[in-house]
Amino acid sequence: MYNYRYRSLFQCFMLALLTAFIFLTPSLACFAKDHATVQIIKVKGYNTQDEVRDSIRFALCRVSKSNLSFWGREYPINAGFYNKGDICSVSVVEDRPKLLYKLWMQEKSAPLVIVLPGIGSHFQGMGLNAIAQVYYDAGCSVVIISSAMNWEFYMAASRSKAPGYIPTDVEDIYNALSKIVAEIKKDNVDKIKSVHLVGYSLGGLHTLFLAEREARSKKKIGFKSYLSIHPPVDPYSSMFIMDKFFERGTGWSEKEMRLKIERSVAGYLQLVDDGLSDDKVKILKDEGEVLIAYAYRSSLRELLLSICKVGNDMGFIKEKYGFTKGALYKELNPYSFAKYADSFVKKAAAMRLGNDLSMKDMASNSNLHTISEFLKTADNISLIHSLDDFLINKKDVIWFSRVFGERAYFFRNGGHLGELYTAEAKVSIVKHLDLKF
Amino acid sequence: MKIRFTLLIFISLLFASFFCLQAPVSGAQVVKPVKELKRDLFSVISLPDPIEGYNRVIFEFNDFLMVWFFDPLMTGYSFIVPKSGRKHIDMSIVNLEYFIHLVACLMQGEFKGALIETERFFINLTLGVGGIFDVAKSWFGLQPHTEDFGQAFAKWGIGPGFYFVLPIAGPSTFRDAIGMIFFVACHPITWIPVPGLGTFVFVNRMSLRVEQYMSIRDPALDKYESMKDMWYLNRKIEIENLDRSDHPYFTDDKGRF
Repeated sequence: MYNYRYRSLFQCFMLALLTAFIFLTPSLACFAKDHATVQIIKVKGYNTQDEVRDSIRFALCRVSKSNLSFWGREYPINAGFYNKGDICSVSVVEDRPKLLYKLWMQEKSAPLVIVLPGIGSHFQGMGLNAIAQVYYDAGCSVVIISSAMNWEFYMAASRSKAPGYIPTDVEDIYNALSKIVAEIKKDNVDKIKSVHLVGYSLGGLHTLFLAEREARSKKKIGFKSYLSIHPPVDPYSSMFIMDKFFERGTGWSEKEMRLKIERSVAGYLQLVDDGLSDDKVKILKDEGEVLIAYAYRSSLRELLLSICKVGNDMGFIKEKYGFTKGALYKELNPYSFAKYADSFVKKAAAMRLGNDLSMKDMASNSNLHTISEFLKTADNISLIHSLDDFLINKKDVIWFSRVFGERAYFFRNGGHLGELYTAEAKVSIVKHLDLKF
Repeated sequence: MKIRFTLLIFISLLFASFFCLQAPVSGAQVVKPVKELKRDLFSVISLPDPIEGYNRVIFEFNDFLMVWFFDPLMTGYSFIVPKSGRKHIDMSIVNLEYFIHLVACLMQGEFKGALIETERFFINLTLGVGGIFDVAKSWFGLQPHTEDFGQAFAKWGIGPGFYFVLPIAGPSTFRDAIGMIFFVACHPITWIPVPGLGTFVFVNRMSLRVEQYMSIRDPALDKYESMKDMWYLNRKIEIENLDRSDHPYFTDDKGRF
């Protein structure tokens, strides 16, 4: 009796072990394959909170004034990195205002690094200028431009009625960069050793598509290497995540919502002025989400305003652009990115390309998977990301490590861009660009 | 026997599913697009602006003055007086505003704030050489409570009214504009009969803020709207005293952060 019970228990155990082995073997193999190439960049003393509040630490990416002389600090006009950059302009599209860009040239011959910012960023943004300084301090000349989804770039260099469709945006950026590089080379013949492209966030995604564009171009700009920092894999899904952040406060009362925004902005300003307090960003997670969404939606609203200003609203907006804009803002305020993409971007892409595209087509053509074969073989492209970036998921991390192999580097924490202020990150973004000094 | 066999299969599957849960590959994150936003966040934190036409005209005038008159003037002035010099001049003026801060604190029932402001005034007046140095903060850790009449009115429950751009003085609300009348009337500089002193104090203060103004102005397409939103948010933070790093919300966080 007892023997029988033990025997059946043993059978049961063996069967379970066998089944687990059958199910587990492919997963283990997959695990080994996926994780073998994930290279982690260690950051000393990074006290992580969560992926949202860590992301807000990008505000700590500020132009450093520590290397200023006493006279530079006392008389800051035209002193300091931010003010030292020359604001230049170049004509990109006929009958449009000139595109502005900021340039820092080294005295002697040096590599030229072009930095593309995240969604909606203006070239005068502090984070973008701070990243430019990292490369300048490393001995490079640096150029920065506004994002393809910023009003400044749109009004000067976009040939679409509304930006947001990656393949056409990439064409516009490529066109603008070729003119900028030609202009700089014309004025500084012997001062440019090589040209390199860096982008972060949406700019990181643009960088990867631009690398592919350069590879099939007959008249090349001549990029020697590329670095993509925190790119999304599927930009539309990423922007929908931002829309979700904006919806976070739906259940809050109006008073509660107002107070949460005030607290988050106050926490943000304290972070900018005084740095981390007790090694923390003093903002709650849900407040942080609304803050990120608010900043992103403000830039979308401004882009929509510029579309209305140049008369490209394609019939989606009833109110006309005029001196007072209260009524126009009321119409623009409810636009989520999904609504913008489904109306403006879809129609603008169809008008430019001459054929209708569904949202599914637009999303798949803008997805990094479309150029995965190219990315696998392009050994002059590197990637820096973090494992907990809220714009990507675990599947994306695996995809990145499979495609980029040893050219992919990950931070454990930092959320979206929130580790870039650290010394380790500054070293990494220079080291992994493969500069030719 | 049949039951035992079923049990055997069930346990096996349970084991198997447990082990398989440890597999590292997660499913793709499905993000559904948000077509229509349920709440207009911008209007929640925005001020009513019934006189937008007037405000925009005054804003354009102020902006023109800032870019073509004050900015060059301040650039010239900044070359004569170094930054730390300008800062210390402003500190001494802020110290002279003690009476305003005191009354505004008392109007709000902030007796602790009133006491701290009094301590700060006397410490800075004596040890800080007439307020040129803020030793009350740096030596004694006494944070300033720079309250004004607009803040006191807000604490009394008076609403902001509407957005109101004042010539030269810039963004305000109807409530804060009334507060500003009291501020100017109570300001010691108003009562010192030295011609041009008020202009000097204004230019000195603006020279410390012009960079901040330009950093908001330059990247914006609609400079009026950007300035309005930023100013109002900042003002609300001042009213709630969230601009102080020693505010209980930040210091007694109870593990919130």
